[in-house]
Amino acid sequence: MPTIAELASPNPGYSYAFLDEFAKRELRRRILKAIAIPGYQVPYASRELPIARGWGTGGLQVTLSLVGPDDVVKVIDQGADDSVNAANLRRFVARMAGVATTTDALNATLIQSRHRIPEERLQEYQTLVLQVPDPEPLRSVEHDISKARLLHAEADYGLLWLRLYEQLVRYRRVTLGASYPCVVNGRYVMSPSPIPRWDVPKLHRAAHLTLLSAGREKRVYAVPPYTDVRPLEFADVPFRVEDQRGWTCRHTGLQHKFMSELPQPGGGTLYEISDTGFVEKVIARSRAAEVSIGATYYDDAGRFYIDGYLR
Amino acid sequence: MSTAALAYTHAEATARQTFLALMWAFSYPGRARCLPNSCLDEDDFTLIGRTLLDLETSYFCPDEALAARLARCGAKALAASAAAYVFLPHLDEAALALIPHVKIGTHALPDESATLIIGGDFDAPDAPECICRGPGIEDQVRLRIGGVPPAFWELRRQTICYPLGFDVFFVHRGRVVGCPRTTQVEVA
Repeated sequence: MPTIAELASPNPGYSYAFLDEFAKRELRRRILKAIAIPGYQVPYASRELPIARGWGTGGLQVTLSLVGPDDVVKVIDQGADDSVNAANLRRFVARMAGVATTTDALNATLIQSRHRIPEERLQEYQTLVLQVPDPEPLRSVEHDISKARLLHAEADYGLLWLRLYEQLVRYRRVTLGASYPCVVNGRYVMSPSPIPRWDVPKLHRAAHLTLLSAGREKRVYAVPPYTDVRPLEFADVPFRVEDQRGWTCRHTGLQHKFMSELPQPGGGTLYEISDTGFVEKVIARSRAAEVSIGATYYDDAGRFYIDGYLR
Repeated sequence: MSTAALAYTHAEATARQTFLALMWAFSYPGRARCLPNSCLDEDDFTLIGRTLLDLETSYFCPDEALAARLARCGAKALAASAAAYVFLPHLDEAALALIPHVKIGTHALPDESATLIIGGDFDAPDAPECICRGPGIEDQVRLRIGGVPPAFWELRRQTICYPLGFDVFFVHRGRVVGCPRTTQVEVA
């Protein structure tokens, strides 16, 4: 009986990096406009891919339109290089473009990520592609997307401010967790994708280019390097990242990096750093391996690298 | 799904490298990026045209020979006031007169705006110095582009009302410099 591998013979009809020339050219034009208008959602013709929408097709299309044989690609899912989603997307990109892959954020030229930004500071000419399930920050306050577009056009974000205020009145704190809305270049409010609040400051005046793409919603937007990204905050109620003080990584003993909680059967909780590529390097260094670990966004005392950004 | 079947052809490589040069030029305005060598011995404008143009978009070019080459991409030839890509190899008086009329988008659709590809001279020490600030620039960048008169920068300042505006690539001998609408330019 023939195996599936035998039946699925190599198809010479595939274009390099899967997308055809026409699709790449359209997406590339949109990416240029997205960079020129930071935070503005540029529509594009999201193509069918051999994975379901909602599983990273937006990020994948941007990655495929950029990737070439000289790239080194890293794919992460909630900080992990080895989760099912990341492993499969990485294998797909590697097969379709013949590129090298890595788990080291500093070695990668192109990083596709679902919901995390690595702990080490990314450098100039690195590209971070964030997968976005819902690009519209106004969706929770305006269900009609045509009206939401009008609100963006008029820079009318009063409903969002009102929502934050209502949360403060009701719960005495802002209860938004991931996808915390931020103002880009003083004009557009964007959803930074469901990254934790911990990662939002990393977009501010970053040296690297961030591209955010929603395949299902057919929108791409960008945060160019050295661009102001400010979370919505009141003068007297500043933006706060997750409070993880006192949490220690069970693998590395480090604190003040974004942690995943691991509830234990007998009660209690263990913690581990969510960025597995970073953990890998810290462990290798502790075993006397020659590893280059870059500067991190938050230092060992939990201070963000840009003074005064977090009040 | 074998990688052996996926040929990274010269055409594919040229289009990708040209796009990356344009992408990084917009990401870091004021920094020159190198365009790839074309196997077809094309000029920089044709190379950029072939990377960005197809039958879904439109262009304007006052230079007949270049316009004929761009027409092969399948894009529609439109007036400067309606075209998505405006190719101006020389920024002479006639070209300058077009600048106030190029598309700047609407508040609902600011991306429905023109991208200008303008010929300049990056090796002109006597050209007026421009100080650029804005997204993509850590502090400031100083730039001298010959063939671009101060009147252009003044027209640009008058036309752009962010987020409305147009975006510019300057090209010269295989190099490209980006100047998106977010870049604030002060002519010294």
